[in-house]
Amino acid sequence: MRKNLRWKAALILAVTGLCVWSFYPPEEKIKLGLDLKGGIHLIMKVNTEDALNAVTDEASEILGQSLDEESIAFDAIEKEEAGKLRVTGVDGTKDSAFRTLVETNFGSWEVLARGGGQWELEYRQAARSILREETVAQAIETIRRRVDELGVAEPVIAPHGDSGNQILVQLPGFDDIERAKGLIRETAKLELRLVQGRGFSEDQLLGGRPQPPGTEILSGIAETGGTDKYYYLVERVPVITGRDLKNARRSLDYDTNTPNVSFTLKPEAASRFQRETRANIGRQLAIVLDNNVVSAPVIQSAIYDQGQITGNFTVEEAQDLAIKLRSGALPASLEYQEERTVGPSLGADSIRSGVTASLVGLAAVVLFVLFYYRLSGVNAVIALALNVLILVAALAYFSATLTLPGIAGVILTIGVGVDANVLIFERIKEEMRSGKTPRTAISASFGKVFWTIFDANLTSLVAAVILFQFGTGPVQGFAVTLSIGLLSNMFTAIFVSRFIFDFVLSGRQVEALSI
Amino acid sequence: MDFIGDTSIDWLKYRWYFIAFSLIVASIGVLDIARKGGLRYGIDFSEGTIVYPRFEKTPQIEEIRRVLSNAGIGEAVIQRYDREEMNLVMIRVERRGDDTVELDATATRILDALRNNLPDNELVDVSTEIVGPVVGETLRRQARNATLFAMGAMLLYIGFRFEPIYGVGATVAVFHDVVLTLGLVSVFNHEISLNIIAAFLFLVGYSVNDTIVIFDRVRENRQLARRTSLREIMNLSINQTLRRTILTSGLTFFAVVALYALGGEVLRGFSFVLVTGIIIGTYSSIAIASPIVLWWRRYRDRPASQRRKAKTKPEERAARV
Repeated sequence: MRKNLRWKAALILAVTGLCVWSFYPPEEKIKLGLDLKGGIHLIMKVNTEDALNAVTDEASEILGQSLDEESIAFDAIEKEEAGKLRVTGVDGTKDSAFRTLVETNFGSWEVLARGGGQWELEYRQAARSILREETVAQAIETIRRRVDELGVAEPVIAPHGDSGNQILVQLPGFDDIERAKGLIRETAKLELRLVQGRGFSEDQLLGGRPQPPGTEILSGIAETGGTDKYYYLVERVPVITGRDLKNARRSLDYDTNTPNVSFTLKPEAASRFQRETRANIGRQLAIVLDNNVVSAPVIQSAIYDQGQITGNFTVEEAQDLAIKLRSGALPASLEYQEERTVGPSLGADSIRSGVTASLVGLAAVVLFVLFYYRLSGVNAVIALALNVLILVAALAYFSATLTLPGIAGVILTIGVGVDANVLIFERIKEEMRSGKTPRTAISASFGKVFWTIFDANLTSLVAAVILFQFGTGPVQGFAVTLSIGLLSNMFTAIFVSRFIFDFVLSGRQVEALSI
Repeated sequence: MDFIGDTSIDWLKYRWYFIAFSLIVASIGVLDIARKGGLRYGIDFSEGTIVYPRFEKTPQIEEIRRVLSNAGIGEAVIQRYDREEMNLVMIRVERRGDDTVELDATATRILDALRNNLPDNELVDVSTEIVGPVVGETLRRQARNATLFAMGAMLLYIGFRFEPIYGVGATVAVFHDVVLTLGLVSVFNHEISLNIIAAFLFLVGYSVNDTIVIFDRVRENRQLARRTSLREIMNLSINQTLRRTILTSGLTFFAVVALYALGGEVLRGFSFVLVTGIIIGTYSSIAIASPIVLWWRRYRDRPASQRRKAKTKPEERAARV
C-alpha cells in the first residue's frame, strides 16, 4: 500500500513539474488569439484566372517558337481567352506535323482542327483544376514566407472555405493593416528589361511608327523624379526575373543616402546577366515591378551577380520590397473578400475584464467548496488547480492559441471538473450514511463514480473531436481546450483525488471524514 | 454539511407541466425571432459594410446620423467604438443588393458623405470591413453543421454506452436547450457572434454532462432493483443526484455570473448564453431527457404487456410500468 502510494505520488509530482516547466514563463508561452490580442484577419480570393492567363501566354510564346523551329508556317497565334488559343493560317500541307507537334509538346492542351488552316488549342479541364490547386498552394507558401519575415507570432495562413480558392490570413498582434495588406497582396513580379525608348506619352515614344515586334510599352516614373506619367518601350523578354534572385535585402545608397534594395543573383542567372550587360553598356535597363517601371538606370559596365533597385523608397518600403522579392512573386493576384481588424487596445480591454471576472468566479467556487466540504474541499481545490495547470501547460506545449471560445472551453472544463469532485464527495457521504467506514466509503464511491465520469467526459470528448474536424476558427479553439481539459479532468478527478484521500488516510484508523 | 436534505419528489408526475413550460418559453423565443425577421447576426456573420472613421475631434453621433440619412443611408447602425479616445465611430450597413460591388460602393458613399458634410471635423483615419455574402453564409453553415454532427456523435456514443433511447433522450434535451436559449438570445437582443457560437457549444457540453450523470444513476439503480418500475427508478435517481446537481450547477453558475457581471461589454452576449445555458441545461436533464426515455419504454412495452396479459399476473404487470 505504502509503496503503491509512493509511485503514485512520484507520478503526480512529475506531471506537475512537467506542466510548470512547460508553461513557464506564462507570458511567453500562452499565445493569445486575435479576439484577445488584437490583430488582422483577412480572407482573400486567389484569382486563379491569372495563372491560367500566364500559362496561356507562355504556351503562345513557346508554340510560336516551336512552329518556327519546325518550319511550319502560320499567320498568327491569338489568345481567345484564358486557356484558349487560336492559330490561323497554318500551311495546309503541314496539318499532321502541326497536330503531332502540339500533341507531343502541349499535353495539357486539347487540339481541335477548325478547318481552313485554323486550329484551336484549349487547356484541359483536368489540367485547369490541378493548376488551380497549385496556384492556391503556391500563393499560401509565398504569403507565408512574407508574413514570416514580418516577425508576426503565430500567424494563420490556410486555405479557407469550400470553393477551393480562398485563403485565410490572421496576424495576431499586428495592427498596421495597410502595410500588411500591401505586403501580402503585391504580386511582386520583378523583371529587368532592356529599354528601347522612353517618353512622356505613347505617341512621343513611337513617333507615329508601328510598335516594333517583341516590345511592350510600360508606364513608370520619370528619371527626373517628376510625378507626370512616363512611358518606356521595353523588350518583351526580360533579362532577369524574380526567379533568378538568390537574395534581396534593404540597403543604403551611399551617394544619396536613400534606402534602396540590393539583390544578388543565382549563379546561372549571373553569367547571363554579365553577358547581357556587357553587350549593352550605355543602354538603359528598366527595373519592372508588377508591370510598372520603378527605375531605369544606365548600364555603366558589365555587372556580374549584384544589382540595386533605387526608387523613392522609405526605409519601410525598401524593407517590404526586399521581403517580397525574397519570398518570390505571387502566382496570381489576390482579391480581398473580408477584412477585419481588432484594435489591440480593444482586445486588451476585454481580456482584462475577462480575466478579472474569471478569477472572481473561480475564487467564489474555491471558497464555497472549502466551506462546504471542509478538508475534503482542499482535495477538490488541489485537483481543480492541477486540472487548470495541466490545461494551460498543454496549450503552451501545443502552441495553441487562447481565444474567447477557448475560455468557454476552460470554463466548461472547470465546471465538469468541479462536477466530478462533487459527484465523488456526495457519493462518499451517501455511502457513509449507510454505515460504511471512511475507507470503504471512499473506495466504493470511486469505483461507482468512475464510469459516470468516464461516460460524461468521453461523450463530450467525442463531440469535441467532431467539432474540431468539421468546425473552423472559434469552434476549433473551443474543441481543443475542451479536449485537453476533459482528459486532464479524468486524471485529476479520479487519479489525483483518490490519491490524496488514500494518502491522508494511510496508516491511520479514521472514524470520521471531514467532508 | 448539507444544505439540502434527502428529497423524494415525484419529478415525473410534473412532466406535463415541464413540457408546457418548455413549449411556452420556446414559442416566445420563436415568435420573437419571427417578429424580428430572423436572428440578429453580429459583425462576424452580417453581410454588409462596416466603416470605422476616426475623426479629428469627438463627433456627435446625431450629426453623423443626420448626414448619412441625407445621403440616403438612413438604415445605418452608428455607434461610438473607441472608449478611450472617443473619436472612433462604427457605421454598419447591412447588405441589400446581391453583389459585393454594392458593398464597396456603400463604403465610398458613407465616406464621401462624411467628408463633404462635416468640414470642421476631418477624418484622420478610416478602416473598412467588408463581408461578402459567401463568407457570412459559409461561417454560419459550418458552425451549424459542426454542432449537428457533434450532437449526432453524442447520440451514437450514449446510445452505445447505455441504450439507444438514452442517446435520443439526451440529444433531444440538448436540442431543446439550444432552441430555448436561441429564443432568449433573441428576446434579450443579443447578436449572434462567433463567440456566442462557442458559448452554445459550452451549453451543449454542459447539458449532456448533466444528463449523463442522471442516466448513469438510473443504469446503476436498475441493476440494484430490477423489479422496480422505471418511473420510480428515475425519480429515485433524480432525487439521489439532486444535491450534486444543485451544487454543481450553482458553482458553475457563480463563475459565469461573475463573467456576465464583470466581463464587460465584449463578453456580455457570450456570458449571457453561459448563464442561461446552465439553468436550461440543468432543467432539461430532469424535465426533458428522462420523460422521453420513459415514454419510449411505455410505448415499446405496451403491446408486449397486452400480449402477455393472459399469462402475467396483475401485480407483475403493474410493477413493470
